[in-house]
Formats: sequence, C-alpha cells, structure tokens
Amino acid sequence: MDEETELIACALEGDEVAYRRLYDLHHQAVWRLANRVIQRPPLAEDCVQETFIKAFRKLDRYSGESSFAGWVYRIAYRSAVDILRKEMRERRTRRAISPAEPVPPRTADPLLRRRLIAALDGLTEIYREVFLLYHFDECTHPEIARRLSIPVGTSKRRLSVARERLKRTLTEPPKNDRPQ
Amino acid sequence: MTDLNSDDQDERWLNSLIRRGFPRRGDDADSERIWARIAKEMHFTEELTRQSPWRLGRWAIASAVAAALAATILLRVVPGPQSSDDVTLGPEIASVLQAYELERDRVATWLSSERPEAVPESARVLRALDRAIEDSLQQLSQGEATHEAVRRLLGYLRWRNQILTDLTRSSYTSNEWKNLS
Repeated sequence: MDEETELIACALEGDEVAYRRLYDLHHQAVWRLANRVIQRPPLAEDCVQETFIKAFRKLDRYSGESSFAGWVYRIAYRSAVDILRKEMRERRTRRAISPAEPVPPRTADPLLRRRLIAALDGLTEIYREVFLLYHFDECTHPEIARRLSIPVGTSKRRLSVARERLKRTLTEPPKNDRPQ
Repeated sequence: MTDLNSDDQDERWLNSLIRRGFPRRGDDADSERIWARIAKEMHFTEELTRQSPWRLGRWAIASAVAAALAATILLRVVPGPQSSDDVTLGPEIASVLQAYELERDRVATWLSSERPEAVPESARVLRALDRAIEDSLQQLSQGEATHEAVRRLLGYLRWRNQILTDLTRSSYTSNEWKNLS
C-alpha cells in the first residue's frame, strides 16, 4: 500500500490531516497548470481551490484505475478552462457594455489561446494530460511516468499521438474562416 | 507550418505556439491562503498547516518510520521530559516497543503465509504499519530523534497493537494465531 492510497482511505474516513497531506502533495502542480492556462494569479488561486474542493467531494468516485495525480490534474484542467472561458466571456460583455473599459496589458495571444484550448479539448484525456505535463509543466518523461503511474514508453507514445492530433487540428483552417 | 515531419519539429512548433498563447509565469501561489479557503468550504474543524503533519494521524503510515533496538537506544539518549506529554510518552513507548519486538517474528511468519488472505484488510494495514515502523526506527537511529518522530512511532505501534488484539479476538484467526507461537 503506498502513501497515497492510505491517504485517500483515511480522507474517506474523514481524516482532515489526510486531506491536507493530499493538498500538500499536489497543489503545486495544479497551481502551475492553472496559472499558465488562466494567466491571472487571483483566478488561478480560485482554480486551485475549486479543483481540490471538487476532488475532495468526489473522492469516493475515484476508482484508483489511474493515478490520483492524473485524476486531480484532469479536474484542474477542466476547472482552469472553465474559469478562463468565463473570464473571456465577461471581459467581452464588459467591453460591449462599456467600450471605454480599459484593456488589460496583453501578454498572451488570445486568438491563439482559444484555438489551442479548442484543440486540447479535442484530445482524449490520456493524451491531453501527458501533453500538458510535458509542454505546460515542462516535466520529463520519467517524471510524467511517475506522476501518472504509467511506463515511460507509454508516456512517450501518448505524447507523440497528442502532438500528431494537435498538429492536424491546428493546421486546419479555423472553422469560422471556412466558406458557409 | 507545412514542413513538420519529425517529432522534434512538432515539439518546437507546438512549444512556440504555447509560449505565445500561454506564456510562462513565475508567480508563487499563497498555498496557505488557498488551503484556508478550502478548509472553510469543506467545513474542516481545524485549519491544518504544513507545520502540523506530524500528528498521530493514520495518513503518515506509509511515509515514515524501523529497528526496535535503535529506538530503545534513542529512548536512553533522549534527555528528560520536554513537556507534560513526555511524562507518559517514555514508559508507554518502551512498553509497546517491547511488545512489538516480542510479536515481530510471529506476525512476520503469519503475514508470509497464505492465511492473511482471509483477512486482507488487516494484513494490508499490518504490512504497511510494519514498513512504517521499520522506517521510523531507522530514521530515529540516524539521529532524527525529534519528540514528534517518537510520538508518530508511538501512533504506529498503538494502531498495530489494536489490529493484533482484534485478530486475536476474531473467531476466524484466534486459533491459528495461537498455533503460531
């Protein structure tokens, strides 16, 4: 029995220390993903909070078939994308209502960001999580293998498939540009 | 974008897109503040901080603690009581360590047989506890003899004793348990 399995069992029995330990083990990875996807630290903090609350409340549904780190990472990605989309929507609304609304300094290319998110959404979770860990969190294959409890070769294969599929999606013309 | 044949080229190309869409950031999270918000939302009764994980919680089982001899030595070298808690800590740990040493071989024999399959949960926890206790004693013998480490070891030993007591009382295992002695 590894530490994490024991922690999850204890958390399910209501041990608050176990919840805290699970948070300690995984919050940095969730934070790095959230902050990179959302690009706004206060909202990224909301994302970390939301991720762990969702994970803890759904802990009885964690089957143990995939690693806990991977499971939490998937919840984090969904939360980050939801927060990002909501924030973009709200910003568009604010600008529509009040054109004088100051535009925040732009560090990221918003159009490209939308395309990348759409392309990532099209990936199956097992490919997406390896891609995110490699390209967003800059993990090596042995690190990814450890985190997701998969062989290194599987990590490499999944990354290759993810890139191939993303390349195909991203080199297609955007759907909005196609003649109707 | 058209000449993308190798995986290396794909990697460079995708990295450049990601850097433009999601630039790297160096912000630090205020992890304690986030935890406080989570704890509130989850209605946790106490706000646990990173400094408190040594508590005798069962969570630490697989992460910690090993050789009764080393801990016995430790108990001899640890200076006198540091808090009122220590007054009972010394005698109790000496007593449970002695029980642990006496039972260790018998439990190991039972665990290596096929019989634990009938009580998988107890066997699973016992194995984890034995590993944790051995690790803990090892750490202690290497000089990491903090008061907290001793308390954690005591937690493991108490829990292990409880399981053994339950097994001895269990109608399924009591006879075979006696026969192992």
